[in-house]
Amino acid sequence: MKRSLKLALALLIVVTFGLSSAQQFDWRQFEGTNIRFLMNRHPFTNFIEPLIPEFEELTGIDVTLEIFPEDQFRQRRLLEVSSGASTLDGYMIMPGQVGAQYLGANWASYLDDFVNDPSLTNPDLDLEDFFGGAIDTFYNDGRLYGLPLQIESSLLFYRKDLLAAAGFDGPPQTMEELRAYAEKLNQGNVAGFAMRGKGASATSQIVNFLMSFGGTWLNEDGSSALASEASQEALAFYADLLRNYGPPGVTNMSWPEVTSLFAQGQAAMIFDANVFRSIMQDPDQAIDVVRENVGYAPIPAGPAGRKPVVLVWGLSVNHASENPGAAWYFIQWALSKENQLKAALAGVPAARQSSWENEEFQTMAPADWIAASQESFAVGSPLWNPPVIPVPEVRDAYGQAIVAALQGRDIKSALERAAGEMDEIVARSQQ
Amino acid sequence: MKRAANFFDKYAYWLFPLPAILALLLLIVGPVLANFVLSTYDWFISGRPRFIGLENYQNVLTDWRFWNGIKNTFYFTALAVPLQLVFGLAVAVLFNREFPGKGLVRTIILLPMVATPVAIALIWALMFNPSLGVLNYFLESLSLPRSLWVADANLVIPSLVIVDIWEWTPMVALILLAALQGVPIEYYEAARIDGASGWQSFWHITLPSIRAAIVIALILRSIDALKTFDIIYVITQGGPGTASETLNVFAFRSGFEFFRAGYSATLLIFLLFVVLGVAVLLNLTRRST
Repeated sequence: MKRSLKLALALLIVVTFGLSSAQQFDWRQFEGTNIRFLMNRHPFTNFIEPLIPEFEELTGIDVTLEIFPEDQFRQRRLLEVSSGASTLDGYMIMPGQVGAQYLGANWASYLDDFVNDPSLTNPDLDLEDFFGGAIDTFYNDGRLYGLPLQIESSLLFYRKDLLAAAGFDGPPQTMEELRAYAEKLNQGNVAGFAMRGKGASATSQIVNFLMSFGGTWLNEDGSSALASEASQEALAFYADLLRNYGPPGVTNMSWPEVTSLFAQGQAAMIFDANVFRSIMQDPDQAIDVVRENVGYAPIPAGPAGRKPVVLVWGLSVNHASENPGAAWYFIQWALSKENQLKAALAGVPAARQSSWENEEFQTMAPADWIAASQESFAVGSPLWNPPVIPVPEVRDAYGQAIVAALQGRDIKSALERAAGEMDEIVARSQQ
Repeated sequence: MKRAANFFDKYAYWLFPLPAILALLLLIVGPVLANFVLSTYDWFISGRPRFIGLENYQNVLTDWRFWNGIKNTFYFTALAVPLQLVFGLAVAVLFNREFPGKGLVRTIILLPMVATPVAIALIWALMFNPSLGVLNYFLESLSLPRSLWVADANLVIPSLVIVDIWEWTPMVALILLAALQGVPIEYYEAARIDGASGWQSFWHITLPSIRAAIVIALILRSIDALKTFDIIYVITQGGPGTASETLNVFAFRSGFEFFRAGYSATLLIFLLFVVLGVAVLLNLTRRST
């Protein structure tokens, strides 16, 4: 009796102690430190900035966000990270854009030591909750160098009323159907299908077609795969679609032109980033008939299936930071389940599945948009850009081939030229 | 005391322009020299600079995109500047006369020149849009065929030239108007007494009298046109493809989009010599008059 009482008491102590240590993760071990993050002027930044006092109260860590418009933000980040400034503790990053460059220059700060240390990582963090397509972009050889804050993918936007009038009872499921739909829907001033064609800016969209036709950026030996047969087929399909059933002047169209074309009722289908749903639901930007009839679907399946790419923004710790622990605390807090849900409700496409499954969130967006987005996020490839350091110049080289194809020039030679230039550009950057 | 005064007398010639010379050294000569040094390096901005001597110059001369840039730069300038001179002269002659509402019209016509170039370019980009733009709407309401404007590789430079003419004709007009107002009215009165027609007095009095001002306007506008950046970059970024990529736009993209600092510096050295060469040539014609 006495013994069992002792045992029970001991058990009780262990259990309560254990529980309380799990529940009361010590948020205050970096109390009194100052951290500075470089941020892009982005909806996520606008969302998190007013919440900073909550974090400061919780942890006693003083946070400064330095916020710049995207171009200046990227220049500033490059400058600070490359100079090894120790006063910068973290930054926003798009791994698909500069990941290869940052990893190549050894600027990544790996977080595994933090994640594996229960005293430094909140047990509620739940890395499994992030979409596969989102968190995978932050792994380099199995090591984690950041956490995703938002995920985007491109979708097919279509006009339900025009499709119904043409006798189609749902969005196209395959590339062949897409062509047949575009042909039938292309009437008068309404283009059957529209998509970006403006050089480099088109590459982030056409890469969805490239992958769905079985192509990719690099061969296994690291040389350019842009001249492959799959790549030629993808570009030929794309150019044929736009030349025959597209709007005039595709070679000058980036997302503002494509989305406004659809919003003004001058295109029956477009393919672009899912976030532009906001434009199609805004009475100031979209005409009534578009707002009432817009539908969303994942990319039609090509010969290699549905192979969308995903764009992911996230937060990383600066490699030279003097307070990496405090910076990691900020990231954990900013991207917690609770804050990602709040972000989602504020209109930021959160990177956590739990945010997308939330009931309140599901009432905010059309069901077909949520379903199509989730389907793309689950399988999306992070390679929306070539996994090389000089991304912008390679995009430009591919963009030249895209413009040539849209102008009706020979696709094979345009792609061979682009592949040759890509190899040259990559080789030059490695000297 | 006397010595100091002597010193001052002797060197005042240098002393007064000294601040200006220093500013010039600091703000112009310095960066140009630094740019020259940079042009001897191969420097991908996130990597390490590597000294390569004149290799960049060699690469530039064999780069099709450089020659494409040269061609577009000259095409743009050769199309824009003469038209601006003709229109500018017409506007100047008009404003040299009295007519009701002249002050108001003169203010309105100067507006394009004082508006922010990037804002102008954004508006023009909207107007050029082949599906939604107002220019095609006008064409259609005149029963003319639609145009692709800046989306057509063959029309993109003429379209951009329209913007440049719209923006810079007022400056030419202003320079020429100042010169016109200096032409003594007696010349025209004498000519009229001798029975000269309006066209004859324009050809034999107006033009020769303001020839110097025309050459100055030509030099200023040519230098500016060769360097044009804002309207081209905002409206087309050099596209479609590279159809409107001038040397300046290519240099910008090399440096700030492709991160090739040394190569971009080399392109700018070439641009410097192109602009200098044209300016010197045009200046020679001024001396010969």
